Amino acid sequence: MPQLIESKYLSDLFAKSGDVLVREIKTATYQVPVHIFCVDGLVNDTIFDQTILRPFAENATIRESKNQQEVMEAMLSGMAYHDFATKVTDMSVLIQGVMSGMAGVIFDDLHVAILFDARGFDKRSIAEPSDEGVVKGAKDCFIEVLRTNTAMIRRRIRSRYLVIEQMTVGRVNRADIAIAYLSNIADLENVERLKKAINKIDIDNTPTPAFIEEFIVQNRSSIFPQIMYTQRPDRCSSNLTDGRIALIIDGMPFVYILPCQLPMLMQSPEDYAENCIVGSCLRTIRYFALILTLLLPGLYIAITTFQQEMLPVELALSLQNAKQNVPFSSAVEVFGLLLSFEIIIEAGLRLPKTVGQAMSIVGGLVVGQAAVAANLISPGVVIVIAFTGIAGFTLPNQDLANAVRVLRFLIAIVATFTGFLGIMFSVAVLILHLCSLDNYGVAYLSPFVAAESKSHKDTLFRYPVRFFKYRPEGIAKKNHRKQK
Amino acid sequence: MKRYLLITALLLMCGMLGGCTQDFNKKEVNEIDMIRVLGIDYEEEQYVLTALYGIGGADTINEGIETMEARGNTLFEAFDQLKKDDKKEVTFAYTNYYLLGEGAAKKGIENIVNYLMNDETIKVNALLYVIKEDQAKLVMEDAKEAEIMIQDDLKALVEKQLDRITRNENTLLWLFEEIENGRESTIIPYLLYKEQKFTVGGYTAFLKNRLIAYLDEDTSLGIDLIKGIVKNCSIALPDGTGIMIHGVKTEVSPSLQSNCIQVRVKLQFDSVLRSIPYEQQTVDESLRQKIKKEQTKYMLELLNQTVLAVQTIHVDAFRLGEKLEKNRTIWSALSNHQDDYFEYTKFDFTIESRITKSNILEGWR
Repeated sequence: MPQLIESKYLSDLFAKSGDVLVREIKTATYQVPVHIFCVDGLVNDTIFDQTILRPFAENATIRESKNQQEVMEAMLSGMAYHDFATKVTDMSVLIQGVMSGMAGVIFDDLHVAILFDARGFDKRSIAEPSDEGVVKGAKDCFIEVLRTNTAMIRRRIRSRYLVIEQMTVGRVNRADIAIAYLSNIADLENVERLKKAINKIDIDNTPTPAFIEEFIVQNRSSIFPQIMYTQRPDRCSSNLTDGRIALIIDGMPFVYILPCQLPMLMQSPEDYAENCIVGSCLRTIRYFALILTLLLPGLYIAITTFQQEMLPVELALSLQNAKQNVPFSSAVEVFGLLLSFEIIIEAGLRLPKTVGQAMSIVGGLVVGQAAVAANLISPGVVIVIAFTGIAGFTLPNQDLANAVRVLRFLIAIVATFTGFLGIMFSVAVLILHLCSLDNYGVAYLSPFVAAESKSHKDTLFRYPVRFFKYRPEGIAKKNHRKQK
Repeated sequence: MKRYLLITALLLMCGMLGGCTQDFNKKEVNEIDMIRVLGIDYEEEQYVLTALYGIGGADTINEGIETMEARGNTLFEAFDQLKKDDKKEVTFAYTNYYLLGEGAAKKGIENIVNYLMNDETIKVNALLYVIKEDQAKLVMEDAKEAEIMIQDDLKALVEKQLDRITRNENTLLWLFEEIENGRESTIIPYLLYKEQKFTVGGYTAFLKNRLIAYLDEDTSLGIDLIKGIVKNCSIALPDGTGIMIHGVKTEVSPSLQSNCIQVRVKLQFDSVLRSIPYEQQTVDESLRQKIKKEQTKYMLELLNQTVLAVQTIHVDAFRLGEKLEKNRTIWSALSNHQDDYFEYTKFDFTIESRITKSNILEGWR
């Protein structure tokens, strides 16, 4: 690819691409030729016509320009009615800009082009967040367009310290990425660390979140999510004011937040919309549900197979009675039903919404009633697995919920062979692992592992807002105080 | 590397811990027989075990209850036989009640309690009862015939007992500690099985861990009062007045006085009048004082009779020895009489009661 900007090269390059336009136009009086270069569908026609093409015919200065130098200077000095005009001299920058939706005006004699941000492709309207909806709170959510997302953040943080640095990633797709942070609060070392990690990404395409996520997490072998994502601009802005960094990727309808700790993943926007006591209760229930969904299948296996004496006698008898005609062991029952449950979830995700609901009902009936009636499983297991599944749905973060789905299988396997002791061992290993995770310089289990009581005001319980005097420990490197 | 070593160490630790217990004895819940009540008898020089186990949720009571019998020259042999005879694995983890036949109680509870406590799966808070003048085996079989859920009846009985007293002192752990601490006399409640119904009669007195006497209900109440474990109880005065006693506080202070131990027992309680046998159905101050006087007299008689009864059979049913042991001065002074101190003990009772409220109309209202 030539370094210098030439319209001829672009014409040849995109000769077979019907949507890419490389066309010569001339000024009215002296017939100075320039080339316009844009992609049909990505450029807003009205903006393009009115602000870039129209001056060629109507603006006296451009019309009377005798050469490309004069045309270019006139356009840059405001004769083109567009504020975002950038002069580029690098062919790759020009192509990348045009491919991202900008319109270029090429001056061959000067080997220069002007890029106008006349982007106007179709985009989804700002709707309610599908995963993080609240009754009392903002209803907007991020969409797939980076600029709209940055605007939403900027609208919420009207601070001069809000920095939105833009980068590109992907050898072929050249997706835009923006890193947002508050320069007077955030840890700039972490910003640099993140930029370095993004720059290291050397991959053709980044079609899904994992293509970026896996490159920027620090403990790749861990199953736990180390980056939080949010669809909500308000949540993103509150994390930014806490000193965290937001990562906005063009084409993804959510924003990544980092550094991320486990307690963040257990927080829901609803916690802050409700009364602090109600919020604390809801959060406590969520933590309880986390423990249940993780351990319940394993506990059931351990108790019914190894440590039956832990059950009250009436319950033990009831379980014994229910299992009399079931040919399988508790472990087989639990694994069978857990697997069926996962299959139903997967099938529900793939099917259209209306069919998915019907399938869930049929699946539930088949697995629940028919299997019990056919003595394939005992009713106790159905209750345990149903409760496990329902408890799993209370987790606000889908990545965490998925991690827990895998882990509960592992714990159940250990429980099958070693009973309660195995469960305790698994829990010990899990805690060890969580303690060992360091995420952008912050412990994954912080502030649970922090000694300062001031850090615990928004963990298991949500204290009243007046207690949130300090930013989370270890996140903000300066300006620790949040309120007087 | 360090991490792998750590995980390996944890795994090894887990394995070792598991190997030292019965936790790896994998048995499904439906592959075990949960013994709910175990009867222990001693007849013809043999221990006879009668196990009652049940399958919960069965359609009929008879279907849900099974009994099994096993014999052996020793307890070990009998338990072993029981385990062998059962087609499933037997567990005592759910056995809440052990019923001792009179023969077994007379043979001695020491080896029974010790044997049970050596099994790590048993419930240490399981209760031990003596079947008065009968065999546990016969009682259990008869109850089964009559479709009586023994375990449920006993549970109801215990709950009722706990409404009356603050704690049950007939748990395996309690008795085991008594035996371990060398206390030779103990008391265990006995059950009466009449007309296919279980009732708690009173205490069985054990000396040198062998049954020597059955104490009547009044004496048993007296023992509970002196021990200070009564929550509430009802008494009927000789004139027919019905009184409910509650808020009982007992203070026992032993002291050494010229070759004998003087034990001052101060009993404080509140009474509620439930019925009076007089035509006058309102209680005025003079009647109140009269009833109070009668009540005090009744209580004193009850307590003195209790003391007399237990001193006659030389059973320290009040656990006085424990109190004396704690008092160094007295215990060292009793150096020659540490086995027979109970005979030289004199009791002095003080009753402080008040009739707090009455369900009967009172004169001053």
